[in-house]
Amino acid sequence: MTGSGEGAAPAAGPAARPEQPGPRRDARPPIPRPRRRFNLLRSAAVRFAAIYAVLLSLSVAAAAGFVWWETAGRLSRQIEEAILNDAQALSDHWEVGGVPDVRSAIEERLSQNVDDDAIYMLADPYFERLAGNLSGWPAAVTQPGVEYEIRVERGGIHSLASMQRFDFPGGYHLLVGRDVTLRLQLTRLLTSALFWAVVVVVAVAAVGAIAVRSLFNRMLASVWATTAAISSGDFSRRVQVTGRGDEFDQVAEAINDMLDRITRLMDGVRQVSNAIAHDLRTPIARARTRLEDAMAHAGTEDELRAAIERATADLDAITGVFQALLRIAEIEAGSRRAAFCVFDAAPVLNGVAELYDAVAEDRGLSIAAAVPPSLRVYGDRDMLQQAVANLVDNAVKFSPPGAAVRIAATQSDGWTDIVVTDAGPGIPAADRERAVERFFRGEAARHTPGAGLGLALVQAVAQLHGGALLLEDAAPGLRAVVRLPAADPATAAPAKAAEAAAATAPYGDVIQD
Amino acid sequence: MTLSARITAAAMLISCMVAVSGAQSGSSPDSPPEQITTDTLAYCRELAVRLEKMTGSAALIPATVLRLSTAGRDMCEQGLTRGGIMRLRKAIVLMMHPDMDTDPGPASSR
Ligand SMILES: Nc1ncnc2c1ncn2[C@@H]1O[C@H](COP(=O)(O)OP(=O)(O)O)[C@@H](O)[C@H]1O
Ligand SMILES: [Mg+2]
Repeated sequence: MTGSGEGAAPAAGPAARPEQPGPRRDARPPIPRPRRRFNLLRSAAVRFAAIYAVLLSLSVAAAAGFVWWETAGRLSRQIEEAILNDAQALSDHWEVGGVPDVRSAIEERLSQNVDDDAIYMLADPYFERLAGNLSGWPAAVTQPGVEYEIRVERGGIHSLASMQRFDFPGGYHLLVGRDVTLRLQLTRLLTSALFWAVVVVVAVAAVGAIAVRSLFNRMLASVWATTAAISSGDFSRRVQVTGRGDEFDQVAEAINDMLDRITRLMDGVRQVSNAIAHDLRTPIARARTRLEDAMAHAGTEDELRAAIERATADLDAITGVFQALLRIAEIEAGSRRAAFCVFDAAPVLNGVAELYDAVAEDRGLSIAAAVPPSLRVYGDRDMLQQAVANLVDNAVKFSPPGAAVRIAATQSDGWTDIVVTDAGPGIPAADRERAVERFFRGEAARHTPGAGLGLALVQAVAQLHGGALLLEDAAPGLRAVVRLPAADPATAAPAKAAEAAAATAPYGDVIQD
Repeated sequence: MTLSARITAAAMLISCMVAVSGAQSGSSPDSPPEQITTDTLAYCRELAVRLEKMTGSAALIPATVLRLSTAGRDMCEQGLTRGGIMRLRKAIVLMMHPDMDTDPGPASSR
């Protein structure tokens, strides 16, 4: 580190940084739209569509199967039952009177067959006809107990009959059948209906699949476009919310909330790192100048030693700033919340008032603490102490001589307010919001020591406790309110035990900015 | 995706097979089909004789039976064998089970 680069080197850092995203964003090609590349096997949308189509087909197939079972199936079951019943009755006749009895039974059955669908044939061991209404034994019917579907000719018209062969003792054979033309017609009807059903289902499934796919794509396209835009640097993009309040909207809102939070955190980080770079440059440069000056001009060893001591003090102040920053970061991280307990904040407030009493007296100020005898708070005692100390520190620092600083506490409506009021210049309304930012220092603070981290810490503590820091106009002066949620009375028991520690709590880690 | 596509293809194949088998069933073109002998004029006359035997020995002949038997015989002689046979069979059934007469006939008007 040499003298020539003193101003230029640090300046290059923060100056160059904000420029970087600019040209890079401009140089980028326009944000790519979601790729419409149609990879059938990889597309989740197609998968969903296919599942939809298969489910639809399966349900239609189940319905068709049921219809089939109830109509054509029932008809053939009835026919088979009729054939078996006939065969059983004729076999009974065989037992009673052999061939003549069976013949007359067959003739009687035929004479009463109004439906004109019965087929009988009794044959001798050589399959020659003995009785019945079939001209000859069908060659295809070879096995007993098997159902055959045989074509027959009925008055010159071909029709289909279901037949079974039954064997009687002595090598005689019986053939019983029923005309199944009706069932055949029904089957044809059902088949063609089913075929068209399949056609319709395929068409509907295709349309539905396309609809599912486009729905899916439309929903994903927005997320896709947003994430692609963000990954190429455009953090302002958000997922489109349709307003229907459905699951897609919920996902979109969750993503947008996440992006908002990330943006806020990133802004915070950027602001802090810019501020650090900017604000620490001055004290470091000052320490450096001091050392350089001493090197060049110190006549005696004592002068040199004194310069080094002052430079060391400057560097200690810088270290202090870093410690304060780390402390705020630690509080914001929220890990200390695990150690929260219910304690009495009254002694804490009185202790802070006492601590600053001497300093205030030096400046001709008076500190008055109006605190109720017991003030139960759920939280971290040390942190609360730091926060109140920072507020009182500001009040003392910015108050004109002779003014009064008041510390008060009230509990109402489930909130505990800790109020520090002074009669100083106050914070202009325009600055009030920014006053809690890290490193913010107002016009009034030009000539007072500090790094602008005090209120940032107070706010971090208040937010960690689920509360807030309110800055109000006390006309004249500032009214700073640390508003904390009231402690749950049910958990108030450990308050006393922690009290003893409060009296001896060190004030060393109060940020003295 | 591949699985579901396969299922869809299989479903379509099965339905096509069902359609084809439904259309083909019953066609056995090798041998000429056997004849049904109970739709000839001869059988019609046989039935008429049978019915006559039944009515001849019966004490009471329902009007419907008479009407059906005349109509059946006439139709058979005119060549409408199937219709005639059906009427004669109905008449026989009615003779066997008179309580099944659901057709009041022209004789007994309601
Ligand atoms: N009591 C007050 N009266 C007037 N201005 C105040 C008071 N407290 C804070 N401020 C303003 O808010 C700024 C930020 O305060 P703080 O974070 O404590 O930093 P610092 O005390 O180091 O200046 C101060 O620089 C000052 O401008
Ligand atoms: Mg301060």
